[in-house]
Amino acid sequence: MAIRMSTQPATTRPAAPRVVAVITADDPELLRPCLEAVAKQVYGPVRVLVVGGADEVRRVAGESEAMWRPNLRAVYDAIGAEVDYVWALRQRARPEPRALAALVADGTRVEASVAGSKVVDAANPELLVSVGYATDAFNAPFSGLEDGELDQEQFDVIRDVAAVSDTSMLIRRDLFRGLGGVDPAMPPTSAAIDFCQRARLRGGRVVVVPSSVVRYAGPDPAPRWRERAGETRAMIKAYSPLTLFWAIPMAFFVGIVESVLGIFVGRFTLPGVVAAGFWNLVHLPSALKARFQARRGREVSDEELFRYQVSGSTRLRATWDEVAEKVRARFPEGVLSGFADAVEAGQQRIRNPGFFVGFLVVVFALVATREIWSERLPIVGYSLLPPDSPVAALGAYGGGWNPAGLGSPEVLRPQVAVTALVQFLTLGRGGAAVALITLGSFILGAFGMNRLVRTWRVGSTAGLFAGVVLMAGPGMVALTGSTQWSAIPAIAVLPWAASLLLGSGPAVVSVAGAALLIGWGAAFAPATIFVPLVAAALWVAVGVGRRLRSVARAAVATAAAVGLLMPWVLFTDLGDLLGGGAAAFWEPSVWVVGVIVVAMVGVVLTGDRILGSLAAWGGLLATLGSIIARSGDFGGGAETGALGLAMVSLGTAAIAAAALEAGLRRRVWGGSAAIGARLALLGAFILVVSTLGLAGPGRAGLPADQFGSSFRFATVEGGASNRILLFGPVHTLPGESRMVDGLGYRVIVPPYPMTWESDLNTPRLGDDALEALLLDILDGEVRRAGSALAEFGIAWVAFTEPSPLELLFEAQLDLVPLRSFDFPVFRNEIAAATVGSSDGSPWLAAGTGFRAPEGAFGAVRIASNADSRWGPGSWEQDGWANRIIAGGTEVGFPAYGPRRLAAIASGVWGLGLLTLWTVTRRRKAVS
Amino acid sequence: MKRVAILGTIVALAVIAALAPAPPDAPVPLAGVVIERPGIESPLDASIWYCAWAQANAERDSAMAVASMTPSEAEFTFPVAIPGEPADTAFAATLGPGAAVVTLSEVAQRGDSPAFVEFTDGPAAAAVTVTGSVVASDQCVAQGPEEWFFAGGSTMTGETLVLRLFNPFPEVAKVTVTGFSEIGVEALGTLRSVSVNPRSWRDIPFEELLRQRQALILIVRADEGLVVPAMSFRVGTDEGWWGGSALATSWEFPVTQAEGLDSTLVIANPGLSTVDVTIDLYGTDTNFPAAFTFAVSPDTPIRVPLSEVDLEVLGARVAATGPVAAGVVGTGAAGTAITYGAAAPATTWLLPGLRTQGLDVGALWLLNTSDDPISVTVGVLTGSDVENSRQIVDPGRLVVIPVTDEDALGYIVSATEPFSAGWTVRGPSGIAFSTGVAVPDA
Repeated sequence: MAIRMSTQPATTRPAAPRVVAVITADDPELLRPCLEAVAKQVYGPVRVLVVGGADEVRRVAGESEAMWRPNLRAVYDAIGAEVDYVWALRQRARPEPRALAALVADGTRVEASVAGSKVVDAANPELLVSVGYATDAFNAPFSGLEDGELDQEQFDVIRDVAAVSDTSMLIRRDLFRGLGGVDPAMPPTSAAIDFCQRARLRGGRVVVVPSSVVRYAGPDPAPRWRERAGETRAMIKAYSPLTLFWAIPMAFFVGIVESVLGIFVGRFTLPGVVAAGFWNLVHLPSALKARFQARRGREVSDEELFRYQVSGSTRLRATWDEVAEKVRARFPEGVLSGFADAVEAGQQRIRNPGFFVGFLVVVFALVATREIWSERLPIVGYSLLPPDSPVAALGAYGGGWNPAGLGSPEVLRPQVAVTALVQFLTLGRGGAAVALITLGSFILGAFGMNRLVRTWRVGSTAGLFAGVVLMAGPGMVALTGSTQWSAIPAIAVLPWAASLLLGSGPAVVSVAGAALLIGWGAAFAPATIFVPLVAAALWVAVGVGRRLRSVARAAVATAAAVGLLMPWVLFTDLGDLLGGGAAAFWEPSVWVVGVIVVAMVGVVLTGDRILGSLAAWGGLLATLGSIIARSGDFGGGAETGALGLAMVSLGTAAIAAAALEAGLRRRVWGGSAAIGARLALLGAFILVVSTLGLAGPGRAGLPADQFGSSFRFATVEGGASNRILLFGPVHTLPGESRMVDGLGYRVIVPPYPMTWESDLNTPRLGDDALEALLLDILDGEVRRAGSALAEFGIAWVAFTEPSPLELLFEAQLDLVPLRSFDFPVFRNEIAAATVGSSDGSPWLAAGTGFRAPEGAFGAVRIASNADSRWGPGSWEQDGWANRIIAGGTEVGFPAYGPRRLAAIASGVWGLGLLTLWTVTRRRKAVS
Repeated sequence: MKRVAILGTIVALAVIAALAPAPPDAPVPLAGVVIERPGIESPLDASIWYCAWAQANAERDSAMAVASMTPSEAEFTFPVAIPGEPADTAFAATLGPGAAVVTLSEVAQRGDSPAFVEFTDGPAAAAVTVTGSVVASDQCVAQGPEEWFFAGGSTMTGETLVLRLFNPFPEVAKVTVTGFSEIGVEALGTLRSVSVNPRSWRDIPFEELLRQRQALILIVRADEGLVVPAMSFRVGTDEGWWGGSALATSWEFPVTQAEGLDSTLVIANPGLSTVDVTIDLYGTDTNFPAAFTFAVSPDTPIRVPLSEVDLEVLGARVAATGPVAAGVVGTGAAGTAITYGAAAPATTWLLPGLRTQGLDVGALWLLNTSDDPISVTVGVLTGSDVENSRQIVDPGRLVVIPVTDEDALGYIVSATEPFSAGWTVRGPSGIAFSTGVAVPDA
């Protein structure tokens, strides 16, 4: 039978409350002085019960006329209804004579459900042991006392606390029975925290009564790992699923960090962390049972439990302090004071409710992108590394040679230039630049979503988790799953841009900042340039507050962002851009759609006006985005798909933010709104959990590496440039490809293609010649394909997967099949070089140009599509290729002046926008 | 109300999204394109000819002859069977039509030198004639079947039969050799998956492996890679070389029996059912329709000796009710000669290397198996021009024209009606048969 109890404070009784003392003991020697101290109480308990221990304990209890009970259940039976309070003591407690009187007097006066004593050291009563505890989010106790802090009555005020020491606790009898007492599976401190936490969950008040002084004999013998295990068990019993979702992994993570830090102070706690984890796994059934009891009939939410919690981890802080102390000891006085101040300032900053979720988001970003920053971006599809030389990349973008395929003077995508600029920050390392962009985008995107929804007073927890949905939700999964790495930075800026446009900031700041952000995103995924404008327009339709101006701002910002895409934007055909590549057709799982619908409908129908509008805005964005992302049959290509999925990402994240926030507010709303909020919370929760799928492999959702090391064998020592002719189904080839009889093919430069090779040019003479050759090979008209391919600088022929076409290459007299690879490869027996002089010397690649090896002489043949700008020297068209006569030791493609000027103008425009944004922001701050 | 309207809009948009038709599937790679494992084949206008048996040493030399109907350049490649060693090469140019000869000893003199010849234009053909201690000649091959059949060899006492597997390609080839003879299917387990190194060759002698076989039919199949097989048959001091052939239901042998030889037609049926065969014989003045008719059981060879026909020169036509392999082998005082026939008559034939050189005298053989006379234009291909003459070949007759023009390097013969052509080379050390190279009709 369930025990019903009142959560209301007990009403004042006419008679003095009757108290039963319950002493937990297992050592007769420690018990005896405890009993003696209890006997000296001026406010005597009506009965003294000793629980636990063996015969000796029982004998000692008998000597003091105390009743003995083997366990707590037997204690419940011994406490009659006439009793008002239970005074729980530990055998090491030596209560001073007025301890109980003070507890009863002050405890009843403040209507406390649990009242604890001030605990001092038995050997040195001036030394404080406990004046109640705060905890951190992981239920680790925080006493607030300095090591060796003396009792100078500085804490002598009755205060609400998260928990009191279990050395001496006065507990209302009904609460004691209703909560099932102290959990016997837990060590003392965590058991006390657990008990107090459960009491507070039922609406009970926990206070410390400093006028009740209890001396404590000896150190606590409980092993540290057991306390840690107990703290986790306490979390499992009390916290909501949402809190547990992040708190349990964070607790483990904190344990790992503590283990690392602990090494510096001679302590290695990792075994304890692991042991605590195992202990909780073993005791999970009993914890879940206890959780059911603890949360049934709860009166408050997790927010109430957080009320007396300190930010951060108390264990980490303690360990950090120890480390800092040790470091300080190694340096002369004053040397580290600045550092210490900085640390202190940092500690102050992180005392923010969203800190842990933010920290979790950072950890999530690190985990989700770990392969990219620890190894390299997977080279697959359109996920490619930037060129080694950022200078060459910028030169190629600014009117230089486009080296994709057989080359062309067509303008490269702005992504090449932007990545090159970041590459300067990483000292020229392309992989590091990509890692920085990827990781930074993940974090900035998530925090940007938080920033955006803060506009509508959505809390950090919901905002940051929504950010995770933005960067790892279904839209992003679809994009990165199709190797669209560039979608990551493009989507990451959307919430920031939307925040500026939909917010209430000054127009100039908003437009300048948004233009920069939109331009940045569009540089990576050009079609996403329209997203902020569409988002603003939809907000006008369904939003709240002043919003019409946001469309105007978005339009101006988008137009301003276009200027950042020069010269590419001047030479790009919008139809080709939106219709090129794989046909857009997003096919989300029915479950994902269902979850999004539940989350959205739950808020739209029952949420308040603002959250309802936010969810509706997200819903419109997501559905409109879905239509665009499924427009393949109407001509929508890869870029169109990216546009649609970017809208889906932003919309889904907005829905998640609204749903999570609604879930957190459900208790306030009550009624049908609470039901809707619960449904929405459930949907959002599943959405957030589903993002773990992206984080698992650690590649930001990108497929596994395919070309990173496949063609290392093809690189020529010394840097001579040649090409690989790669065949395969289009979706297996890197970047864009051409087709012959439905089979994709393209040429790449080993060891793997770079971003500037991603998009192929409109077919030119060389491309047509290569296609004609391939058709001849297909027709069986060629027996010396190697010789013919060497004309194109093709030294290798490879297939991404087995193909019947291999048979034709196997029958060639000058192509050697290499059987030791996992995929079909043929080596061209005829020496092939992209550029070579008439003496047969292959020239070395230098950016998009080439330089002569030592001793090379004669006319130079450049196996790239013919263009008269190649030089220096006398240029001749050699069939579809180029021949330079009487040139120097280097050949290259001088930039088109107007295009270079346009690129420079784009950079200047970007700097101008940045300056405008910075200056106007500063002015706003000053005013 | 507003919320319901918004929700309705969202639902409507979602329905539109859900009903959006899927784009057409991406084209299936190579859909509808039939790519079969290519055998030995090459395009007509840039053909590659594989000559597995060229030899040059102290006793023998080879004339590598080429002929083409259009101006062309021919590049000869003689791989060296030492890994990493570059191949020897030679070049020749022909008029259109024209012929040229490269003497192997001037390029490489290291005994066996299998080669391949690449033409820049065509139709063209190549042949090798080995002279010196022996006389052997036959056309090279530009295309071949998946299974090559060799009919005509035997391993009786005093006979030597060697199979050469030439791999001109840059990949190791795996070859399986099977065979049957008058005693049934032969057990050749050791010749399963025989490796032939790239740009190399391998000789397999059969006189020890399968002794005392009177009619040995060998079948060569490449399991991996490609090979060009050829067979050498030696009796006494002379030897003959011939390439393998596919199966066909009819064969024409313009050269069947020559003076000083006792020839035998060998017909083999590798199929699963009995085949009825009819052999017509043709002389210069008479013919013998259905001279022989017989049935050939599965996996059985039949030897048809032609010595009982009292004619010194003979042509033959073999007609069968199912695909058969056929070859003709002649041995006798004149030497040893062996060749396979032409599967069909043609209107144009190239005969590279047909010439008279010193004591080795060539002869052109024209066979008309039709019922009408055929006017054949006989063109002598020299290095600089073509000398044409006309020759009437009566119906059912064989015409043998000795080569007297010392400038001849090859022949081209053509007519408006199909016929067949071959040649012989006879010298003091032996004799060789060869069938011409039929030029496909344009």
